[in-house]
Amino acid sequence: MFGKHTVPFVLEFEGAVVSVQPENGHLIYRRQGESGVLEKNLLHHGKPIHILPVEPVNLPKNITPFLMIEFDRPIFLGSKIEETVYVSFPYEIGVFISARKPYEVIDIFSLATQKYTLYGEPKSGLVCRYWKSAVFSQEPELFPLREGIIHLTIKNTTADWVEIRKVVLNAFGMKIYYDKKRVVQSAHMKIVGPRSAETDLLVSPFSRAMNKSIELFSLRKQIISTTHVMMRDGI
Amino acid sequence: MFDTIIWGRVTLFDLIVSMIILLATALVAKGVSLYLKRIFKDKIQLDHLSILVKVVSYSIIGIGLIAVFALIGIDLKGLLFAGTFAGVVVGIASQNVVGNMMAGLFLVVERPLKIGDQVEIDDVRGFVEDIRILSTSIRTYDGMYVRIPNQTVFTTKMVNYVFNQVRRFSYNVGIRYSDDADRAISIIRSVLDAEPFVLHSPAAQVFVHKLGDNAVEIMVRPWAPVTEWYSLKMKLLWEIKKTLEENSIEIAFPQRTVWFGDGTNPSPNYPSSGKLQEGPGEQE
Repeated sequence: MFGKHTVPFVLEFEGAVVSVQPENGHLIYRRQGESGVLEKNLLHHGKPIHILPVEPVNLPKNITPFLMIEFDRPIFLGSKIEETVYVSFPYEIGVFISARKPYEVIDIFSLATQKYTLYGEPKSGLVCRYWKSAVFSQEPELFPLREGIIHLTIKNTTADWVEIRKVVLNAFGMKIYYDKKRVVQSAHMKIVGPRSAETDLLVSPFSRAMNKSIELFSLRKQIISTTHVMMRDGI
Repeated sequence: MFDTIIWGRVTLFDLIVSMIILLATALVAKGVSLYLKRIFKDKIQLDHLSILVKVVSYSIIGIGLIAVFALIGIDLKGLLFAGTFAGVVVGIASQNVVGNMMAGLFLVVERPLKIGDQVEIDDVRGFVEDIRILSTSIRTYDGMYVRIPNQTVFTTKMVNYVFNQVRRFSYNVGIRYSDDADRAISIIRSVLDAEPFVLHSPAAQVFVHKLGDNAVEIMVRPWAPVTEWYSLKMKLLWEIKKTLEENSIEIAFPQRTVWFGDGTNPSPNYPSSGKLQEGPGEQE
């Protein structure tokens, strides 16, 4: 499903049909789903279309770069221990055309539910895309078009046990990889206090055969000062 | 020719050099301003950048002026005495101007508002367009330009609608007494859950807050990002009303049952209990 598609084509996602087909001398990009029909004229005939998983912070509109994943069951981690777990994350599906510029976004849609939340206090907190996930000890099999898998390494640098209920990630630093069956990324969480942690995203596919997706923030030439998140308002 | 005395010991050469220095200073100030704007455009907030550019620009011009004063023989000590006296006179004559300037400085330090914020100051609501030394300009929601002296901004009550990351808004939804309020609350919650920008946390409050004269009043208090709350507020109420009605829960309206002295009800359609079940009834 993900990757380069030569026009014309018709692809069926769960609840959405994406097509590029000639009509009256034009190429028409069309996406049909529960929310209605979106149509665009493509004037670059013969250019391939790329359909790729992208950062989950663009819909309904981009208001934040942060993603908060709440665990359905808290994790207890002992002092000075590093463990790896798998959690799910939502992603959005980007449709790109490659013309003279490498890529241009035609459309972004998602099959995952969209919800936002506040991490921290109203004055100084972070508005985040919200997602609730189970915590897996092994790589799980998920709904591949709705959710991806994060390989999350958690390191407790404190002298006490800690209870971890959530992780906040900077989606602008996401390095998303995909193959035919899954969409994945890797992240690191360093517990630095009983209520604080530092998180970052890693350049690390699960296997060498996986392809790297496009980073929307770099495509938009947004200046990213950091991909870290300092979680000071609870973990 | 360049040795020609213009006044005192100031020659034509000094005058030309002074003008060149002034011109160069202005050009350097402009160049540095443009450079700072270009370098920091995407890195610091617009209002901070504006202040930084103004401070740097005026500082460069100030240095240039001091150099010129020295060159053309203006004694800065003399200026200091004269300036002190003039300052007292001007200060008395322009208390409001000085007050506005000081208020402008305090606004910069305290930062209760920044360019682009949505605020209400002295009954004026709109977007902050600019914060200058003497005044703050507001573009009202209906597109008018309002200039407010900084003293007023600083001393009157100011509401900044977007100071925090999130804010709450509320609706009062009145349903009929014959409807199931628990079910209505559940339906309203499902509408809020389906809306991405109604925040998961802080959680929305939905509860029966009043048994009114004509309706069971349900308070709905969702939280939303400050950038989205108003569009959400405009959208959600009608969504709630439609969804309630699709589930056979009606929005109540004011009504009154009229009884005659002999105990009969004027309308045969109305139940003898005197409690309106459906229909418009007699509206107040």
